[in-house]
Amino acid sequence: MEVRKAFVMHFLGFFKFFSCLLSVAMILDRIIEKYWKFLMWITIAFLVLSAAFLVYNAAATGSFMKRDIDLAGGKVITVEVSETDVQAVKEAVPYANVRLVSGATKTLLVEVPFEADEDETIQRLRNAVSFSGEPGIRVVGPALGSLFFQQAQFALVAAFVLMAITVFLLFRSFAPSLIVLLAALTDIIGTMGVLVLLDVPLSLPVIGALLALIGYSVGTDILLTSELTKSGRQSHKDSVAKAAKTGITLTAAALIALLSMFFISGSTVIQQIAFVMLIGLVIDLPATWFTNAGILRVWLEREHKGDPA
Amino acid sequence: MILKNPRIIIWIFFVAVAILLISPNPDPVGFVVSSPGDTGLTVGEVLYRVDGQEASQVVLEKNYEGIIKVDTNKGVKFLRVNGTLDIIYEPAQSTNIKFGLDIKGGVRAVIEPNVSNNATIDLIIDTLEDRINFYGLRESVFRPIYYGDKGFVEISIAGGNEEELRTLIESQGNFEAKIPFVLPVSGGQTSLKLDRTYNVAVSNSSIIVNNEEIRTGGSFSINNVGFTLNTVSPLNLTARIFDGEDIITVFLDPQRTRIEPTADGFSWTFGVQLSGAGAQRFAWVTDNVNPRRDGYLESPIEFYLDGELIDSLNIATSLKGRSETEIVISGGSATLEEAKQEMARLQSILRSGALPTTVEIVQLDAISPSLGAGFLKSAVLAAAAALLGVIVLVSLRYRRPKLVLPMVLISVTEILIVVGLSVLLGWTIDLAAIAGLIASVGTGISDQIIILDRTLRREDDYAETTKEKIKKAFFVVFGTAGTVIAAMLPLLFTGFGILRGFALITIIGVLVGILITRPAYGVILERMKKD
Repeated sequence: MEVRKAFVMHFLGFFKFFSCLLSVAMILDRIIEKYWKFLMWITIAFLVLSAAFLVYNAAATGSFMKRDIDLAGGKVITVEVSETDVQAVKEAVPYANVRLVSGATKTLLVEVPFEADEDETIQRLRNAVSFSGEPGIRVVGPALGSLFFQQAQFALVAAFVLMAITVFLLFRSFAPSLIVLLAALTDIIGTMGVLVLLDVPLSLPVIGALLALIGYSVGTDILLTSELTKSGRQSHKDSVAKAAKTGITLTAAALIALLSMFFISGSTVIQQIAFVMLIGLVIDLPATWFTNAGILRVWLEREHKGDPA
Repeated sequence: MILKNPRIIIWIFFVAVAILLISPNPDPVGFVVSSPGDTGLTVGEVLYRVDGQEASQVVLEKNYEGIIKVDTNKGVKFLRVNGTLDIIYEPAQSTNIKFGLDIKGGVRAVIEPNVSNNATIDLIIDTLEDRINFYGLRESVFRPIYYGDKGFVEISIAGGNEEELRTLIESQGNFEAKIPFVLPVSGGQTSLKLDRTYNVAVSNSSIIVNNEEIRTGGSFSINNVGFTLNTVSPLNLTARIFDGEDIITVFLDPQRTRIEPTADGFSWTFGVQLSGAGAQRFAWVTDNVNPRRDGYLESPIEFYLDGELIDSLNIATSLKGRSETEIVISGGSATLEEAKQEMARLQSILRSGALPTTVEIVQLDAISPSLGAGFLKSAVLAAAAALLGVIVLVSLRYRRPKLVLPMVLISVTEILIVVGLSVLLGWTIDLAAIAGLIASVGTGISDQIIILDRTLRREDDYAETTKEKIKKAFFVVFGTAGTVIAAMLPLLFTGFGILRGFALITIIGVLVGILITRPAYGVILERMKKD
């Protein structure tokens, strides 16, 4: 009975969450209309702040984001556990960084430096927690890690450039494309800033997610820009409202999918990808509907000042 | 009729082909041969019955003698077997989907050769492939990868654990057989018998042989036999008899391969065939060694692997001076399991030969099958929850099941087609690929929402037909697809192991979306609008 009740409550919770998201669209619509010239500066300020934060971090630590063992070298031991006292594990392996990843299954991640002996660490783990099956082991040499890091930076820049070319080819108009790219840049830089703030290190899945974000986050901007620039006799206000109605449904759908990936998958790879994209898509909401919409409207109004209505 | 529309026909065709490719088999029976050895079976053949018994792990590992009957999916076969069936097999799977190592368990390693050029990399791959296949680890995939100007080899092995892999690939495999012996010196003179007798002049701290002065610790070579001078007084030399290159065949038959219990563990022995030159060196050198009373020579023959002594073996007096081409190599281990593993390891190293250079493991992932199975279960659950959540959202947004149903249908078929293509292209589905799949299906649903919203609009100010509306929506759909593919492209060229699958599946997913399922969805919507 208890379980059933909990399930129903849970379901109702979901229901409310969805309707909430939908009403957000309508409220947002009104807010944008009233304050749109002011709102667009919020995300621009956020972009500048994040960029400054990353630069500061790079100057202070030598790299713009903290690097995971994928990119810095080290060893990770993965074990599937049922119940775990993380504190006890930390005490048993004091030289390790211990994380618990929960989903449908629970896994314990124990990160140790490259020089540490994995067999000894596994032995210590066995004494501290009971786990089923053989542990998984991941080893990355520091030299290879650095190589990966270089490649990761290259991939990020290359992905952004290729995406930018695609956007220019799509709109064949300089200013709207540039505005789309500004929104995309806000998503990426902003996400990285938030990741640094949350102390999430850069790993291969995080890079994959950032790249995916470069591609996916401009979707809403393309939707908005095409609506505004090809809207015929419709007013800009109506265009933004229509695009936002669709766009926010899209983002809501993506957020739901990402939330279930994050909470259920129990795999660090999937969890990291979902987490980064969640942050990115949340940032994308104001970046698209405040900044991109705002600047584009200003530009369109100037452009068509002389036009007969 | 909607079924006559070419876009719908293409869509249905791809779904049907995908289902055939994945070929779901809800009740898998038998075992699939992944490496047939020299049994005459073929790769992929499914074994149902062996020697009248239903195929099982136990039945497949049993010892057989003579001719046995085997029932396979290709009919009845008769195999001649002496010992166990020399095949590698795995239980029949319920689908053709190839799962990545992070799901089915196994080891993936990236090794860095100390000398790196294309030829060395190829040679390393050949050698290690022989070694690992011979050792009997399950299917292994070798791939050269280049990061900048540095070459690496990526090895993925299903089954197998970290330790096995390490011992197999980290040893360069330089095998040497040596005989240390003492020459009697009288009056500062002695002689070394090889193809002829060589005179050796002995002084306080050095010897002179073949007009060459050798100090303690120095080495010299006569007629392709290498010697090291250990001490001058007594005159102690070590001769190199043969190395891995001289081993022509490693015998595997039960007569010449043995594991026996000893006082403090287990000893293993196996026979090898030596080259003529190696046998000749054995004959020459043993001629210099005196026999003992117990029927053996004074000096043993010592086996070294990468400079480490594995075993030393007494030489029967009857072998002195004989050019013996078939010799026995042995070693000892504490437990039976270790003895089996060590023997198999040395046999595989000797068969494959030495690596052209030393290698170092720079990246290693080992996942146990149980851990992987848990990941798959959770990932599938997460994907199902994601789809369900999105269906609920879309239902709330449009409140018409008629509009939601095609969306669900399209999304499910999209997953089928992408997975089907991955089977066709031989790609593996790992966890990152599943994330890519969920992401691309997510874009699919986004695209459908864009198309649907455009179609549903009632604008009086400018009369657009449904077709025109859909066309406009497709501008956004293609645009988004373009940017996603553009952003994923660099990953294919950087070659991070785990992200390739993510990028490939995302790109294929997006392409399937815009080329196959989205056009079909457009047609379905047009029809619905007309009704």
